[in-house]
Amino acid sequence: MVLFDQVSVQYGAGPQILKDISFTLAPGSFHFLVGRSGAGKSSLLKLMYLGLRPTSGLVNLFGRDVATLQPKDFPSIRRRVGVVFQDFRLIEHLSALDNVALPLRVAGVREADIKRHCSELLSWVGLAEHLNALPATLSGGQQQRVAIARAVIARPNLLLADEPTGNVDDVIGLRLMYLFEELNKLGTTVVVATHNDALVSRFTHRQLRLEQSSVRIFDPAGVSQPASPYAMPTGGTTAGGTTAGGTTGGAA
Amino acid sequence: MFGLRSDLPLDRDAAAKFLPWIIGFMVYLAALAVGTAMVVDRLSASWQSGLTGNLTVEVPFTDDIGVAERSALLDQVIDLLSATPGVAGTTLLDDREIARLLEPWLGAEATELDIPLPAMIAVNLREDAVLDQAQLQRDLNAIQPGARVDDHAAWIADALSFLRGLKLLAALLTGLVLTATAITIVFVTRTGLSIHRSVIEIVHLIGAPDAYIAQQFQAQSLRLGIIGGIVGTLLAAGTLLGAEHLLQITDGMAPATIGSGGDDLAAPGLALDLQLLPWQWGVLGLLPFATALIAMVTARWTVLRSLARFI
Repeated sequence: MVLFDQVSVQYGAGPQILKDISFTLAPGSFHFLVGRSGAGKSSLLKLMYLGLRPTSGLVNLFGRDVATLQPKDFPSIRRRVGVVFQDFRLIEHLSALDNVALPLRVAGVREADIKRHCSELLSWVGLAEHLNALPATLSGGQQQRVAIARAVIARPNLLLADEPTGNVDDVIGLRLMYLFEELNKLGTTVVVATHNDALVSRFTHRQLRLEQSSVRIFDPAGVSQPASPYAMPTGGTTAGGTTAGGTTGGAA
Repeated sequence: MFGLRSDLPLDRDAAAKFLPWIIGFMVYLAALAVGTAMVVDRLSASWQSGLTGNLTVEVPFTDDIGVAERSALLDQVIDLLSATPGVAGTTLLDDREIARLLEPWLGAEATELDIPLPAMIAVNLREDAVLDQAQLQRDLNAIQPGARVDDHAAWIADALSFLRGLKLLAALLTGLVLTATAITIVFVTRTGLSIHRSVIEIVHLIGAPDAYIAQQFQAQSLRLGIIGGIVGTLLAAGTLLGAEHLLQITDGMAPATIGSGGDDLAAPGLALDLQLLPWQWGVLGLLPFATALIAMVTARWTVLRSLARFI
């Protein structure tokens, strides 16, 4: 699904944000991406949604080497990735429903189906009364839920969420996490970047920990990691690279 | 294509608000140019066919020739002309016709002046007639020295050259106007791309291909192009009809001139008729749609070209 091999990222002449990162995400896996602010979580996610090209190393998405992709290949890969942006990135002049509908419209889904699916999903995240509301009239938490609904509406193969529970209360936060888990059970690979240690500790999903520009994998369930071409000691120990596969699902 | 829903708020852009007016003005100019070109084209054809099918024979008389002798000479000339192969008919212009032709230069009392005026004979030729003009000229001189045949060749050449110049100018103006329209569309589209860069980035990240984004710009350009185009064409149609009406009014007021009436015997076929034929109005009616199509294609091309460098 996702393979990083010796991937480094550096913005201009600045310091390396990511340095020789190697890991793989198996299809249907669920990972938290944790690390302090500035550790490179957003950059790592950007690499996975083709928002950034690595300075060096190999990034392979859905079996395609990103370096060999032509611009015309980007849309089809991006349609397989759902992204919840930290700053939501909702389109201000579109209603909540139209924001959520965007991935379906881009995919050419029939308008009648779009209305039905989007209404259902927005109702599920508690925004049934705000279908036609513009983002500016919604609270931060409501905007975040719209952003999440937009990311999951097309049932992506890979869901990337950057601090998806940062602006919602614990109850809504948990509800959203359950939504991610439901998608994960249906086969979506999920990566959730978060600062929220309390939230992370409620689940037994593997953790990709970014520290000092390197990635370290942590498996709270203590399940041994399968070997991989990039295998390093895992299970809570520092890993220059590792394979992180399988669904561990379920709230703790 | 004409759907009102758009992911990009293009209609709110200041540049887009002016676009229909700009396109309307451009189409107005283009429609006038195309209309003029079509009128000129029709005039060229009708003048050429009108004049090449006619001759004017001028028979001068000296003061010492009496009325009876004049009449006899003219009969001889008319007989000669009637017997000439290719001649369909002859008409001797009376004093009233000659006075009407001379009025712009000599005033209404031209025939009353004490100046020798030649007799004028309008000759109608058969279609596709081949006339030995040199022989005719010799035969006329044998009857009355100084008589001459005018086939309007020099006049036709000058007039057609002038009309060709007008057509070329109209074509040039149309080309310039359409080019200016395309450049305006490029500018407005690039401005839109720049203003909505952040939204376009989101739509891109969601998986929209460049064509999806281009479709929104091209739909807007097509819609605004048609609106502006229709307004411009209607105004141009009003202007052309107004010009034609004005010509009719001044035609009624003015003294006789070449082309002032379709039955001018000395210069038949020289009517200055500004009326457009139904099919020519049809061509003008297509202009807004052609312009809108150019606007749409230009917008699409601009977006795709710009977005290719976007990522």
